[in-house]
Amino acid sequence: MAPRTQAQAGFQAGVKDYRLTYYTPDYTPKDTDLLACFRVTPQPGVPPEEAGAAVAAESSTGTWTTVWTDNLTDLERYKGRCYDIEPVPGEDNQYFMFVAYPLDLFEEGSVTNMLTSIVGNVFGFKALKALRLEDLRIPVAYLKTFQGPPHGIVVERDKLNKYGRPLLGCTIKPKLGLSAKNYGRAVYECLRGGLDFTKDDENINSQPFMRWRDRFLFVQEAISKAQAETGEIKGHYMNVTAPTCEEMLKRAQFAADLKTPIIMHDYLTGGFTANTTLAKFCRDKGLLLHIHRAMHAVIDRQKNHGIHFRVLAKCLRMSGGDHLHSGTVVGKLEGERNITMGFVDLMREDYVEEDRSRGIFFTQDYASMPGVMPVASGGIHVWHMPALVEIFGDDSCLQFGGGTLGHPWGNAPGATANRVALEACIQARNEGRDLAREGNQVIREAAKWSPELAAACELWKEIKFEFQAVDTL
Amino acid sequence: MSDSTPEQHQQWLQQLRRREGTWVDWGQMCQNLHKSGWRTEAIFEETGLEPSTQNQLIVASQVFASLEDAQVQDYFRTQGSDLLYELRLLSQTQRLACAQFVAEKRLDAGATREVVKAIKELSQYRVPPNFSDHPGDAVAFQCWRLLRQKPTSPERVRLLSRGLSFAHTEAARTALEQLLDPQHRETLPTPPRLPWYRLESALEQPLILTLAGELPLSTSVWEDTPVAQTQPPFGHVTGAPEVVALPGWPILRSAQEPLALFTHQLPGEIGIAEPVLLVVDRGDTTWQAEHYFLVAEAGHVTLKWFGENPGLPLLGRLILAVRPPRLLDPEHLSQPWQIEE
Repeated sequence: MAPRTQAQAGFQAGVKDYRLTYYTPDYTPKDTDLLACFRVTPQPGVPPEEAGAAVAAESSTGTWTTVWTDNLTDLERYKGRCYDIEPVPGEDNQYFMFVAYPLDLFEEGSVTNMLTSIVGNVFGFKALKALRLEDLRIPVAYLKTFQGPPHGIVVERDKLNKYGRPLLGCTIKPKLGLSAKNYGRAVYECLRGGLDFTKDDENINSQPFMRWRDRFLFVQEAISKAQAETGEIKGHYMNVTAPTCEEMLKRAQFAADLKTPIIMHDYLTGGFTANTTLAKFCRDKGLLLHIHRAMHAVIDRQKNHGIHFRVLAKCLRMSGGDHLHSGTVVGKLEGERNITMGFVDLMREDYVEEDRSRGIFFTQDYASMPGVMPVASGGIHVWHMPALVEIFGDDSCLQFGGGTLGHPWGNAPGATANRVALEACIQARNEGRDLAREGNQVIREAAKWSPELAAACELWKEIKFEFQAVDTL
Repeated sequence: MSDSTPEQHQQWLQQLRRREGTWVDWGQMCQNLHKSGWRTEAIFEETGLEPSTQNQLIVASQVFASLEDAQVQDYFRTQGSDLLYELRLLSQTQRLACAQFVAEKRLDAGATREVVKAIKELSQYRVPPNFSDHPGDAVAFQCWRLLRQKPTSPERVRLLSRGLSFAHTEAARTALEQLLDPQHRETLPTPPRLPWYRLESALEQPLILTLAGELPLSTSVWEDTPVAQTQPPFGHVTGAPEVVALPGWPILRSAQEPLALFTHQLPGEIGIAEPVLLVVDRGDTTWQAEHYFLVAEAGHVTLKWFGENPGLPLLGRLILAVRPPRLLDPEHLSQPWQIEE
């Protein structure tokens, strides 16, 4: 549709006062508006209204000076509007600023364009000391232009024929240096021992010590062997992240030709354009897509600058991915648990209510877009199993790397220990036992008839994970 | 493996194929078949029960068995495997209360799932005494909690009606009804926010040093040079004139005649517990509605905001109100982060 034009009298050159145009506290957002919540730290002496207006302007139609072509555009139709400002509780120099963007500012089905528009330039704005994108409300009208996850949780379970429990995974270690043949052997041992998935590390692509084609072939052989022995469907996240989209698709096509069930992508280092391309390929080919979030901490770790992970997770659900790493929660303070479970809900629920205590600033309706399975990974072992089942429920993937490969008897017993611990926790929970209180007892009882689990319990019982919450509102 | 016979397996499969008995029986039969080595796909081919349905029936029948109340069991015996399946996440006592509630309210699977979620989340919050641990009150508390975050949202009506329809105790209902009061909003123009700024850290502040001179320097000059005595919390230097150092922020550099002064009283602020350093541009005396100004009042200068031009001589515009750095910055207590695999 051609942009509307509006005749305006005269042209006054000069630097623009954003506040006059882009701060509109009386504006009521429309259902079709894309809403953003920014945490803004203005430079000393810059009024928050001016900062909010500047954010809205710089991320939509504004530029630093009045330009002739403003007269050829209906700015009222296309401009972003800062419609609300709230001081951040407990912070003297920070404000939550709410900006509404009209739908026409964004290309359909393009996370790349959406992010370029909203966070492309504004983060370097001089009037701001720091800026963090806290949340987005994607209107249903825009959401429906995205394919979303290739398959989603329900279809993944049907494809794997696994129901009623979290899935179990393991990252093959050491991160770098294993030959393809030895790598395949480790995969086989883990899958035979009882895991559902094994995983390439995020930085395993196609290095000199193990080229991707060799790895895929040896891993697929391991999968087939483990499937034949266990009668279960198994998978290995074959990392197809590559230097170019063409190379990425070539690797993905090879994986599809091998009839492997799942592949993997590093969506932040690979980029959203590549990820969306791969997600569409995966739906066409019936492949599941596991997503790693390598580099996320560069973007989301600072409390007052960058992009919160809940936004990155939302973007991934739109761009497409069946699994996404979400953190483990276990052992951390309640504050972070709420925040983490907030974005886990944003990954897998269909309708998520605004709830500031969970860091959710907008009610989000996903309009039946398939859900993404959260992956809890990193520093977890059998003693964490009851808490993980209690916190994440059934629709999650629990990934025990060191917790499998570090087992004193080897990889397969390590995998068995995890599977036994998981099944014991699920059975106990289904029978009505309270895992939060009786979890350790459940594991101890299971260890009596599983020597693999008993050995794992003996090795890891002293390990504790206690952190301060880093991410509170 | 169970010690059942092939004949029994065939009998169970036939019963499942014909859907004989209740769903509770079907769940138990599926479980028995699994224990006897039958795979979910094989059961599906024999009976038409999909693997996901088999899972639902097995788990729901386990939940059914854990309900120690004959009346509740009677209600669910012929219906609601999908409802009891949602209750799997609850402990035994929670299940019974929730099952009774679901039966009483005749909830569907979606609503049951919401109730279960509300019960699970209850332990994550400090619940006021108005709300009991009854499932209905758990939902009412969830609505009450969300309502308090949305003083003007159009979704209030939906949340209120949902909370009231689920509330079990009178106290919970009262707590929700208190939020029904219409919101009285001031229509008068509100004064602008004070231009607050909290100094980030004492280390950021410049330190004023006395310049003793240049070498070679006489001993007496060296010994008589006073050390600049800085005073907390802003590090201002006592003497004549007293000075205070601030970073060279653009707002200060662009001011014509910036001067600083301390205060414990500010318009619209009650009971300021810490000292505040005001920075006023003495060279900017043109009235603007969005700024505070110093004016003379009974022989003293005072800070005021004027919604309209007061017609008084203005003594300077407030450009910054600086708060001292916090003594304890919780952000710097630890540097936790998680490893990822």
